[in-house]
Amino acid sequence: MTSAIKVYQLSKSYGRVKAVDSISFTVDYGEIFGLIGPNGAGKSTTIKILMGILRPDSGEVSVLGGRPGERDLYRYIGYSPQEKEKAVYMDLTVYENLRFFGSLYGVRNKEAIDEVINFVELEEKRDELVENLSGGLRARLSLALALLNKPKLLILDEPTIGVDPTLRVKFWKYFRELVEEGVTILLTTHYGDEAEKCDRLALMYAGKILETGTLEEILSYTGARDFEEAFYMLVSQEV
Amino acid sequence: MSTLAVAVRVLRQISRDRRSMAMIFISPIVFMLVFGYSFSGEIYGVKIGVVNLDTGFGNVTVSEEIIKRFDREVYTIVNYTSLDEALEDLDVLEVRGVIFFNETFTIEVIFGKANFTIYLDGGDPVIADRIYGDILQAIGNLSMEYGFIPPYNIDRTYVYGGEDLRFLDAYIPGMICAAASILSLVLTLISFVRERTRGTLYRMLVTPVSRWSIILGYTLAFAIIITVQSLILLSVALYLFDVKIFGDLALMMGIVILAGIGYQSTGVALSLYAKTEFQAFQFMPLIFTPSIFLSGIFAPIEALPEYVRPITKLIPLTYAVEAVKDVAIRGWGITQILPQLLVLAIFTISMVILARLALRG
Repeated sequence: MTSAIKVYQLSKSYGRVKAVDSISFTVDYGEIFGLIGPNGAGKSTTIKILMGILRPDSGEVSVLGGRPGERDLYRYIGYSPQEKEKAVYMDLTVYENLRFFGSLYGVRNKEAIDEVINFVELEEKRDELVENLSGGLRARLSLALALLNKPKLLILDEPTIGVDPTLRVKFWKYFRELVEEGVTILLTTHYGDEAEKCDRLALMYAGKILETGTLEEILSYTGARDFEEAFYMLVSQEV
Repeated sequence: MSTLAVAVRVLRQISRDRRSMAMIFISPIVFMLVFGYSFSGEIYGVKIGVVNLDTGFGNVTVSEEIIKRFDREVYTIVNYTSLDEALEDLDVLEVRGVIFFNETFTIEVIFGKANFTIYLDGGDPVIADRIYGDILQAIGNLSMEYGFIPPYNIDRTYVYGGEDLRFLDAYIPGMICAAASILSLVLTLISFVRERTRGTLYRMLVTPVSRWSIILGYTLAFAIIITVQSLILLSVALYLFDVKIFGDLALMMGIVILAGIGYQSTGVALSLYAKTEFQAFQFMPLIFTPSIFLSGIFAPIEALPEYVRPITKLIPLTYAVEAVKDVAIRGWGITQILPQLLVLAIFTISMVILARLALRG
């Protein structure tokens, strides 16, 4: 098996709005795959379908060889949602959040929790209530939560949104370290510079995938000088 | 362990939420004080049993004249041929009182000394006092019509409670049950709507934890909260209002917790229909109004208009209040309140299943 995620002709509508329109892509094991596009492109809807939170209208989806929503599958997936507050308990401390979610994965030993706290460099904030943390620190906590179960596959929806540039650099250092350890990462972003750091990309716009491949392949196909120009050219063709 | 983790986490969060903490500790006291100082009600359709062995004298039967003067809008008369049979029905509250006239009642009236006995369910002092008062009034009316005061001696016997049972003693047990149930519904509804709106519910749902663990974790946390609330309510009732509890306190608390869990699960199910906490608050009048006014907490069901009474049977709290009163005031055991417990158990299990299904949303 070479693909951690397979998506084939996936569609999802909200009323008359087609959020995802017959998209297909695969994510290989051991790579960072980026779903890149502006707000409203359909990235988060796709992620929510992959996580089993939303049901697709049509299409086929396979995640780690299983179907989204299968409970056992969640043992191997780390997930960080896009929600503004990063879906953590504001009135619990950093450590309490990690201990609670850890227990849902069967991770109860303090060492495992300390390991992820150290990895995202939140040691000094471990006993702080989350409501007192900045957006960047909350994003770090959300990543720590996604790493708690030592996942094979990390699905991160806009992991660096609201994160300052220095921390974004750190995040990408974490992602590369994780991939080197054998983790597969699917992430979404609308930052062009982050697209350049992914191993492969899918460019999304208005629910459709405009192009997939490595950055070099996309630049070569479009004849553009950089990612932003390539994206602009592809969107212009579509419109 | 996952269930325990959910419970510990829920309790920890609630302990940090001032609004929720205020609801847990202040609301029960406010509920008790409001209840303690207010009540009113009008009564219809009370069933009373009559055992009339009076053979009369000539063409006069005084007992029948008394019975004739009972207001038929207030009372439904059930005739019995034996006192034992009538008292058996009073024991299970098929009737709320029994009037017994012996064979020589009319003759005793004519010869200047008549005795008759009324047996009353003292567990509901509002109804017991009303029956007694109306008997006196019927005799008074008869006296006025015939122009003499007959020499009656009325012997009152209470099967439950008694003359010293106060209004508060009779209604506070039901109030404890209602307050714990409604408050647990409100707290769960708000907590769950918050879980949904903040995305934490979905985050839990994409972990290997079973949905049953989440529901049972919540149930465990709220069972603890309901117990604490009930103990506060009970303490206020016992020490501030000097309320008497005649039955098994543990059984009474068991009913309160069972009803509370049912209402708490209703809160989880309702959260599916509220996208914000503000919307959740909009459910309150729908839940509060029937529960408070139609479940027999403040007034006996007999004090409700006839056309409203069928609705009371659709309110789970009615059964809980009835069972709690039967235990606290009448000292009934588990076998006697089995029908109410069965309805409550069906309600609670159904609501827990509904809550589990609501987690799909």
